Amino acid sequence: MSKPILRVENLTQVYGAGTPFEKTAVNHVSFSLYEGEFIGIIGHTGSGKSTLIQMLNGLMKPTSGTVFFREEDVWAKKYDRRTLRANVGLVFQYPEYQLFEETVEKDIAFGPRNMGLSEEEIALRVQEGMHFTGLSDKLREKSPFELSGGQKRRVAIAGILAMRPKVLILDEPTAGLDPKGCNEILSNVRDYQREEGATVLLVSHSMEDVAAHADRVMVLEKGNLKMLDDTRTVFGRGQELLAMGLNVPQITRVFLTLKAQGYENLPSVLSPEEAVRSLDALTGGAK
Amino acid sequence: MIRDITLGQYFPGTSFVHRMDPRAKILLMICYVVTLFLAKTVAAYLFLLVATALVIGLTRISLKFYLRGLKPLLFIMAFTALLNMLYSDGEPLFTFWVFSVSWEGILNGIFMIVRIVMMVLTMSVLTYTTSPLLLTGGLERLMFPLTYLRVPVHDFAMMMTIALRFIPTLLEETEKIMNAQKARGADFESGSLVRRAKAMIPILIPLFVSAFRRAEELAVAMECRCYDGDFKGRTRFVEYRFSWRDLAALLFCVAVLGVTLALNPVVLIRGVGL
Repeated sequence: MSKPILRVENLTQVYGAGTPFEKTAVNHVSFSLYEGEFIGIIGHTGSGKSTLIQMLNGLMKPTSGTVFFREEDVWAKKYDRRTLRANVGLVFQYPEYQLFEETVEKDIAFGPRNMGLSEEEIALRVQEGMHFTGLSDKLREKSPFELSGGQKRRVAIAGILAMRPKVLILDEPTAGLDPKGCNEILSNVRDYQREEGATVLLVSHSMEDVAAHADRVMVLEKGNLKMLDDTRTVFGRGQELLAMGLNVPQITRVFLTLKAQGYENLPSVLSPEEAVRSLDALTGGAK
Repeated sequence: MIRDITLGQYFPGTSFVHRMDPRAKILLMICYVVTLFLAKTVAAYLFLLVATALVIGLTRISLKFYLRGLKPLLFIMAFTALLNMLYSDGEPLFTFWVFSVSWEGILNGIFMIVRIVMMVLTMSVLTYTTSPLLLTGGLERLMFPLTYLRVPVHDFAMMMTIALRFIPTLLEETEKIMNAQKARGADFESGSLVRRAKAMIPILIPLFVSAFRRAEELAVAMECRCYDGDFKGRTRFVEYRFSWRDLAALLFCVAVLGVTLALNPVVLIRGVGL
């Protein structure tokens, strides 16, 4: 395999060390991510997902352990962490609360401008960001505060995409959106990943979304990295996930339950389409 | 980090001081601070230091947290001590330029520091052991006579409760927004003063927007629960009662006041404040 784009070693984060409120949010986590991968991160609330991703772009200094971007230690003395943040784009939860400019265009331009790009380049990046998130050109001059919730979310995501990050991290980008909005945003992210060859990390509580998009899935529990494997393998371990208070996609669960009831030749599936295909194969296409 | 600020911090517990009536705690704290200002002699200060240490011990909260609360005041303390040292009368020990430093001046400076330290510690005892809710509840009950002068005591208390309640929330929010803007390459640490002030705009605007949103949501939530200000016949979920603890604390404060005055012959002879 090629060199990892992002690699962490023994990453640990302890909050409030030495006080009665001491808490280990991330506990000796190590993994490597490669170019062009789509990784899903699942874990219970408080399992350390948000802490972990903030360490990946140098926003939070780990208590111990190392983060390598393209095999360079990001906490080395002379390392430029502002450039790192453009390379590892992080979309926070409810990113629409960070909008502040008078117009959509200016808000999306905030990131590229901080990178010190030329005006033409900034205009190009804004254009790109709006294109990837499906924002129509008419919104350009509008105030971001006048938009609907879903549109605000798109503007915020466009603001990160406009920096053209090599690694894109999204913390529950679809929380609070309607199903149509969810699917659109995820397919926007998918388009960006394909066109830029970027690595995507998606933190989500929707197992369906993770199953539909992720190549590999990372499972966190109480700050520990419990699993990191390809999506099918992880969701094949449904019982373990359920024991952690997590879930598997509904269709996967149906098949796992049927299997437990004695239908042993059923495969592990990740989507309804796959389920239909495997049933067709088993029954020889007879309805 | 921003969340390290201990402003108005409360440490849950079940110590003697935690379980006192908040009204008693507020009144006795005022009484205690007045006592601190009556002390004039070395003996009185030493006695008060011991008494304060005793009270702090009773709260069962680590001394570390009390000392942390003192840190932001170091400059003010040093400044007041210096002024006291330079502007006190007495036999000059040595002089330079227009200043003369006397033995009394040095003593006054030290007294000033000890006094401020003890004052802050006493107030910390109150805020560390009383939840914000009890604190404003206690204040509201103490200010009750003012309602006869048509002062909206209840509304003020409610505003204070809400303000205190939202300090940590807003701090957390500030940190979140700062991180979000940093993730977009914002730089708050370098550049000229004007540039740094300008760099605050991407934080302040979202913060204001969300503060207003929160205020509106809270108002709706309160109205949904039929909150109607201080209407007649409103009852309380928690009724405060004075207990033996409060009596004991009262006796303690009176004793401290008595001993302090007794160790202060000059004050007794010349009268307070002369």
